[in-house]
Amino acid sequence: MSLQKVYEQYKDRADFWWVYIREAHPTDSSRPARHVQIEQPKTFLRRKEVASQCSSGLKLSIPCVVDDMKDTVSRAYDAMPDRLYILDAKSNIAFKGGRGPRSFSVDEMENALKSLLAKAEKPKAEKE
Amino acid sequence: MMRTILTLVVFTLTGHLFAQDPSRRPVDSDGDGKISRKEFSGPGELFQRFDVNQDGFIDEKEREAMRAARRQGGRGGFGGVQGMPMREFFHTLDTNNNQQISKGEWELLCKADDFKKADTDKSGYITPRELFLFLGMGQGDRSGGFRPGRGGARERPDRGPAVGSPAPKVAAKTMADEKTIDLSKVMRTTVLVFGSYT
Repeated sequence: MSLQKVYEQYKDRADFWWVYIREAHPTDSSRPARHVQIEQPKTFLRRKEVASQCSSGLKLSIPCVVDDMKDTVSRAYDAMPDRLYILDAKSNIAFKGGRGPRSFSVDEMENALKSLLAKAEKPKAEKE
Repeated sequence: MMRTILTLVVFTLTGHLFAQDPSRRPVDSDGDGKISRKEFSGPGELFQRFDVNQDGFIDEKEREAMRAARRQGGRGGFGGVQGMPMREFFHTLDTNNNQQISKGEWELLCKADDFKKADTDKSGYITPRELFLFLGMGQGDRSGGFRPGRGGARERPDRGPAVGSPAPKVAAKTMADEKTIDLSKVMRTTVLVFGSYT
Protein backbone atom coordinates (compact mmCIF):
# COMPACT_ATOMS: atom_id res chain seq x y z
CA MET A 1 0.00 0.00 0.00
CA SER A 2 1.25 3.45 -0.75
CA LEU A 3 1.91 6.01 1.93
CA GLN A 4 -0.73 8.30 0.56
CA LYS A 5 -3.34 5.54 0.86
CA VAL A 6 -2.33 4.72 4.41
CA TYR A 7 -2.61 8.41 5.22
CA GLU A 8 -6.07 8.69 3.73
CA GLN A 9 -7.26 5.60 5.49
CA TYR A 10 -6.00 6.51 8.96
CA LYS A 11 -5.82 10.28 9.03
CA ASP A 12 -8.97 10.58 11.13
CA ARG A 13 -7.56 8.32 13.80
CA ALA A 14 -3.90 9.29 13.82
CA ASP A 15 -1.80 12.32 13.07
CA PHE A 16 0.69 12.17 10.25
CA TRP A 17 3.76 14.28 9.73
CA TRP A 18 5.94 13.98 6.79
CA VAL A 19 9.34 15.29 7.82
CA TYR A 20 11.20 16.58 4.83
CA ILE A 21 14.90 15.93 5.43
CA ARG A 22 18.19 16.39 3.60
CA GLU A 23 18.19 15.08 0.03
CA ALA A 24 19.84 11.69 -0.17
CA HIS A 25 20.91 11.84 -3.81
CA PRO A 26 21.05 15.44 -4.97
CA THR A 27 22.83 16.40 -8.18
CA ASP A 28 25.81 17.72 -6.24
CA SER A 29 26.44 14.41 -4.49
CA SER A 30 28.55 11.47 -5.55
CA ARG A 31 25.51 9.40 -6.47
CA PRO A 32 22.84 11.69 -7.87
CA ALA A 33 19.35 10.33 -8.43
CA ARG A 34 18.18 9.83 -11.99
CA HIS A 35 14.45 10.25 -11.58
CA VAL A 36 14.60 13.76 -10.13
CA GLN A 37 17.41 16.20 -10.35
CA ILE A 38 17.68 18.44 -7.36
CA GLU A 39 20.61 20.28 -5.92
CA GLN A 40 21.02 19.98 -2.16
CA PRO A 41 19.14 22.96 -0.69
CA LYS A 42 21.58 25.36 0.95
CA THR A 43 19.06 27.51 2.78
CA PHE A 44 15.94 26.77 4.76
CA LEU A 45 13.87 28.72 2.28
CA ARG A 46 15.13 26.61 -0.58
CA ARG A 47 14.58 23.46 1.44
CA LYS A 48 10.98 24.45 1.92
CA GLU A 49 10.59 24.97 -1.81
CA VAL A 50 12.00 21.54 -2.57
CA ALA A 51 9.78 20.02 0.10
CA SER A 52 6.76 21.50 -1.57
CA GLN A 53 7.91 20.34 -5.01
CA CYS A 54 8.40 16.91 -3.55
CA SER A 55 4.95 16.87 -1.97
CA SER A 56 3.31 17.61 -5.25
CA GLY A 57 5.72 15.50 -7.28
CA LEU A 58 5.06 12.41 -5.19
CA LYS A 59 1.36 13.29 -4.87
CA LEU A 60 1.57 13.20 -1.09
CA SER A 61 -0.89 15.25 0.89
CA ILE A 62 0.53 14.30 4.28
CA PRO A 63 1.16 17.54 6.18
CA CYS A 64 4.78 18.47 5.90
CA VAL A 65 7.31 19.81 8.35
CA VAL A 66 10.77 20.73 7.16
CA ASP A 67 13.86 19.74 9.11
CA ASP A 68 16.21 22.60 9.91
CA MET A 69 19.54 23.11 8.17
CA LYS A 70 21.37 21.36 11.00
CA ASP A 71 19.27 18.23 10.30
CA THR A 72 18.22 18.17 13.94
CA VAL A 73 15.22 15.92 13.55
CA SER A 74 16.83 13.65 11.01
CA ARG A 75 19.80 13.10 13.30
CA ALA A 76 17.67 12.52 16.37
CA TYR A 77 15.81 9.77 14.54
CA ASP A 78 18.71 8.53 12.41
CA ALA A 79 16.30 8.95 9.56
CA MET A 80 18.49 9.30 6.49
CA PRO A 81 17.62 8.58 3.75
CA ASP A 82 14.05 7.63 4.60
CA ARG A 83 12.34 6.02 7.53
CA LEU A 84 9.04 5.48 9.31
CA TYR A 85 8.24 5.86 12.99
CA ILE A 86 5.05 5.81 15.00
CA LEU A 87 4.70 7.67 18.29
CA ASP A 88 1.98 6.65 20.69
CA ALA A 89 -0.32 9.07 22.50
CA LYS A 90 2.17 9.27 25.38
CA SER A 91 4.83 10.47 22.95
CA ASN A 92 6.85 7.30 23.20
CA ILE A 93 8.25 5.47 20.24
CA ALA A 94 5.76 2.74 19.41
CA PHE A 95 7.15 1.58 16.11
CA LYS A 96 10.50 2.01 14.52
CA GLY A 97 10.80 1.19 10.87
CA GLY A 98 14.03 0.14 9.26
CA ARG A 99 16.27 2.59 7.49
CA GLY A 100 15.53 3.10 3.86
CA PRO A 101 15.81 2.28 1.15
CA ARG A 102 16.37 -1.38 1.98
CA SER A 103 14.31 -1.70 5.12
CA PHE A 104 11.73 0.95 4.39
CA SER A 105 8.37 -0.77 4.54
CA VAL A 106 5.02 0.95 4.46
CA ASP A 107 3.20 -2.36 4.96
CA GLU A 108 5.10 -3.06 8.15
CA MET A 109 4.24 0.40 9.42
CA GLU A 110 0.59 -0.02 8.49
CA ASN A 111 0.36 -3.30 10.40
CA ALA A 112 1.90 -1.69 13.45
CA LEU A 113 -0.40 1.29 13.15
CA LYS A 114 -3.43 -0.93 12.82
CA SER A 115 -2.69 -2.94 15.95
CA LEU A 116 -1.67 0.16 17.85
CA LEU A 117 -4.92 1.92 17.07
CA ALA A 118 -6.91 -1.19 17.90
CA LYS A 119 -5.19 -1.37 21.27
CA ALA A 120 -5.66 2.32 21.97
CA GLU A 121 -9.29 2.40 20.96
CA LYS A 122 -10.43 -0.77 22.65
CA PRO A 123 -10.63 0.48 26.28
CA LYS A 124 -12.44 3.54 25.10
CA ALA A 125 -15.04 1.49 23.28
CA GLU A 126 -15.61 -0.65 26.34
CA LYS A 127 -16.29 2.36 28.51
CA GLU A 128 -18.90 3.76 26.21
CA MET B 1 31.43 -10.97 19.20
CA MET B 2 32.47 -12.35 15.84
CA ARG B 3 34.50 -9.27 15.19
CA THR B 4 36.32 -9.75 18.44
CA ILE B 5 37.10 -13.33 17.53
CA LEU B 6 38.37 -12.33 14.12
CA THR B 7 40.38 -9.53 15.58
CA LEU B 8 41.93 -11.89 18.06
CA VAL B 9 42.68 -14.48 15.41
CA VAL B 10 44.27 -11.95 13.13
CA PHE B 11 46.18 -10.45 15.99
CA THR B 12 47.52 -13.78 17.08
CA LEU B 13 48.70 -14.55 13.58
CA THR B 14 50.21 -11.21 12.90
CA GLY B 15 51.59 -10.91 16.38
CA HIS B 16 53.70 -13.98 15.81
CA LEU B 17 54.77 -13.17 12.36
CA PHE B 18 55.24 -9.50 12.05
CA ALA B 19 55.74 -8.01 15.44
CA GLN B 20 59.31 -9.18 15.19
CA ASP B 21 62.01 -7.31 13.37
CA PRO B 22 61.62 -7.02 9.60
CA SER B 23 64.41 -9.48 8.88
CA ARG B 24 62.19 -12.20 10.26
CA ARG B 25 59.52 -11.54 7.68
CA PRO B 26 59.25 -14.28 5.12
CA VAL B 27 61.42 -13.47 2.13
CA ASP B 28 61.39 -15.23 -1.18
CA SER B 29 65.18 -15.35 -1.25
CA ASP B 30 65.57 -17.65 -4.27
CA GLY B 31 63.08 -15.56 -6.26
CA ASP B 32 60.91 -18.44 -7.45
CA GLY B 33 57.73 -16.60 -6.53
CA LYS B 34 56.91 -18.73 -3.55
CA ILE B 35 58.15 -19.20 -0.04
CA SER B 36 59.45 -22.56 1.02
CA ARG B 37 59.57 -23.78 4.56
CA LYS B 38 63.25 -22.85 4.65
CA GLU B 39 62.61 -19.28 3.58
CA PHE B 40 59.89 -18.91 6.17
CA SER B 41 61.31 -17.76 9.45
CA GLY B 42 58.15 -17.97 11.52
CA PRO B 43 56.95 -20.98 13.49
CA GLY B 44 56.15 -24.10 11.51
CA GLU B 45 52.57 -24.14 12.67
CA LEU B 46 52.00 -20.80 11.01
CA PHE B 47 53.65 -21.96 7.82
CA GLN B 48 51.23 -24.84 7.64
CA ARG B 49 48.30 -22.53 8.19
CA PHE B 50 49.32 -20.25 5.39
CA ASP B 51 50.20 -23.11 3.06
CA VAL B 52 46.56 -23.75 2.31
CA ASN B 53 47.02 -26.35 -0.42
CA GLN B 54 49.73 -28.08 1.62
CA ASP B 55 52.23 -28.26 -1.22
CA GLY B 56 55.09 -27.17 0.97
CA PHE B 57 55.22 -23.68 -0.49
CA ILE B 58 53.42 -20.44 0.22
CA ASP B 59 52.60 -19.21 -3.25
CA GLU B 60 51.57 -15.76 -4.39
CA LYS B 61 47.90 -16.19 -3.57
CA GLU B 62 48.67 -17.53 -0.14
CA ARG B 63 51.09 -14.69 0.45
CA GLU B 64 48.32 -12.27 -0.38
CA ALA B 65 46.28 -13.70 2.48
CA MET B 66 49.28 -13.29 4.71
CA ARG B 67 49.69 -9.68 3.72
CA ALA B 68 46.03 -9.03 4.28
CA ALA B 69 46.35 -10.44 7.77
CA ARG B 70 49.25 -8.12 8.36
CA ARG B 71 47.40 -5.09 7.04
CA GLN B 72 44.49 -5.84 9.28
CA GLY B 73 46.80 -6.29 12.21
CA GLY B 74 48.35 -2.92 11.60
CA ARG B 75 44.99 -1.30 11.39
CA GLY B 76 43.89 -2.64 14.70
CA GLY B 77 42.43 -5.94 13.76
CA PHE B 78 39.64 -6.88 11.48
CA GLY B 79 38.56 -3.30 11.66
CA GLY B 80 34.96 -3.79 12.40
CA VAL B 81 34.37 -4.72 8.79
CA GLN B 82 34.32 -1.00 8.20
CA GLY B 83 38.04 -1.17 7.62
CA MET B 84 37.89 -3.94 5.11
CA PRO B 85 35.25 -4.28 2.47
CA MET B 86 33.47 -7.62 2.45
CA ARG B 87 34.70 -8.35 -1.04
CA GLU B 88 38.29 -7.90 -0.07
CA PHE B 89 37.88 -10.10 2.95
CA PHE B 90 36.17 -12.76 0.89
CA HIS B 91 38.96 -12.79 -1.67
CA THR B 92 41.51 -12.93 1.07
CA LEU B 93 39.95 -16.09 2.39
CA ASP B 94 39.23 -17.53 -1.04
CA THR B 95 42.85 -18.32 -1.73
CA ASN B 96 42.27 -20.46 -4.82
CA ASN B 97 39.86 -17.91 -6.21
CA ASN B 98 36.97 -20.24 -6.98
CA GLN B 99 34.39 -17.92 -5.39
CA GLN B 100 33.92 -20.36 -2.53
CA ILE B 101 35.67 -20.64 0.78
CA SER B 102 36.56 -24.19 1.69
CA LYS B 103 37.12 -25.36 5.24
CA GLY B 104 40.87 -25.20 4.75
CA GLU B 105 40.73 -21.69 3.42
CA TRP B 106 38.52 -20.64 6.27
CA GLU B 107 40.80 -22.02 8.92
CA LEU B 108 43.64 -20.00 7.54
CA LEU B 109 42.36 -16.87 9.22
CA CYS B 110 39.21 -17.77 11.06
CA LYS B 111 38.18 -20.03 13.86
CA ALA B 112 37.50 -23.59 12.72
CA ASP B 113 34.36 -23.80 14.84
CA ASP B 114 32.87 -20.88 13.02
CA PHE B 115 33.01 -22.64 9.67
CA LYS B 116 29.98 -24.74 10.53
CA LYS B 117 28.10 -21.71 11.71
CA ALA B 118 28.86 -19.74 8.59
CA ASP B 119 28.14 -22.60 6.19
CA THR B 120 24.40 -22.28 6.64
CA ASP B 121 23.38 -24.60 3.82
CA LYS B 122 25.94 -27.23 4.91
CA SER B 123 27.42 -27.44 1.46
CA GLY B 124 30.96 -27.60 2.77
CA TYR B 125 31.71 -24.26 1.18
CA ILE B 126 31.02 -20.71 2.19
CA THR B 127 29.57 -18.48 -0.48
CA PRO B 128 29.91 -14.70 -0.44
CA ARG B 129 26.36 -14.44 0.77
CA GLU B 130 26.98 -16.84 3.63
CA LEU B 131 30.02 -14.87 4.69
CA PHE B 132 28.01 -11.71 4.41
CA LEU B 133 25.30 -13.08 6.67
CA PHE B 134 27.76 -14.62 9.05
CA LEU B 135 29.47 -11.31 9.62
CA GLY B 136 26.13 -9.88 10.61
CA MET B 137 25.86 -7.63 7.63
CA GLY B 138 22.77 -9.21 6.17
CA GLN B 139 20.37 -7.53 8.52
CA GLY B 140 17.36 -6.09 6.90
CA ASP B 141 15.32 -7.93 4.39
CA ARG B 142 17.42 -7.64 1.30
CA SER B 143 16.96 -10.80 -0.68
CA GLY B 144 19.59 -12.22 -2.97
CA GLY B 145 21.47 -9.18 -2.10
CA PHE B 146 25.21 -9.68 -2.05
CA ARG B 147 26.57 -6.72 -3.88
CA PRO B 148 30.31 -6.65 -3.48
CA GLY B 149 31.73 -3.48 -2.17
CA ARG B 150 28.42 -1.84 -1.50
CA GLY B 151 25.98 -1.60 1.31
CA GLY B 152 26.86 -4.03 4.04
CA ALA B 153 30.44 -3.10 4.57
CA ARG B 154 29.50 0.51 5.08
CA GLU B 155 26.55 -0.12 7.34
CA ARG B 156 26.35 2.55 10.01
CA PRO B 157 25.21 1.77 13.51
CA ASP B 158 21.57 2.63 14.06
CA ARG B 159 21.25 5.63 16.33
CA GLY B 160 17.50 6.02 16.09
CA PRO B 161 15.48 5.97 19.32
CA ALA B 162 14.36 2.48 20.37
CA VAL B 163 10.79 1.35 20.67
CA GLY B 164 9.43 2.30 24.08
CA SER B 165 11.77 5.21 24.63
CA PRO B 166 10.41 8.73 24.74
CA ALA B 167 10.37 10.66 21.49
CA PRO B 168 13.48 12.80 20.99
CA LYS B 169 12.96 16.42 21.98
CA VAL B 170 12.99 17.97 18.57
CA ALA B 171 10.77 20.30 16.69
CA ALA B 172 10.36 21.33 13.09
CA LYS B 173 8.59 24.03 11.20
CA THR B 174 5.69 23.38 8.93
CA MET B 175 6.25 23.85 5.26
CA ALA B 176 3.20 26.02 4.81
CA ASP B 177 3.40 28.66 7.51
CA GLU B 178 6.55 27.88 9.51
CA LYS B 179 4.57 27.05 12.59
CA THR B 180 6.80 25.15 14.99
CA ILE B 181 5.62 21.64 15.67
CA ASP B 182 6.95 19.98 18.80
CA LEU B 183 7.54 16.42 17.72
CA SER B 184 8.27 15.27 21.27
CA LYS B 185 4.74 16.00 22.50
CA VAL B 186 1.98 14.51 20.44
CA MET B 187 -1.73 14.51 21.16
CA ARG B 188 -2.49 11.10 19.72
CA THR B 189 -0.91 8.32 17.74
CA THR B 190 1.36 9.99 15.24
CA VAL B 191 3.06 8.61 12.20
CA LEU B 192 6.34 10.22 11.25
CA VAL B 193 7.40 9.79 7.67
CA PHE B 194 10.98 10.81 6.97
CA GLY B 195 12.10 11.34 3.46
CA SER B 196 13.35 13.57 0.73
CA TYR B 197 12.72 13.78 -2.97
CA THR B 198 15.69 11.76 -4.10
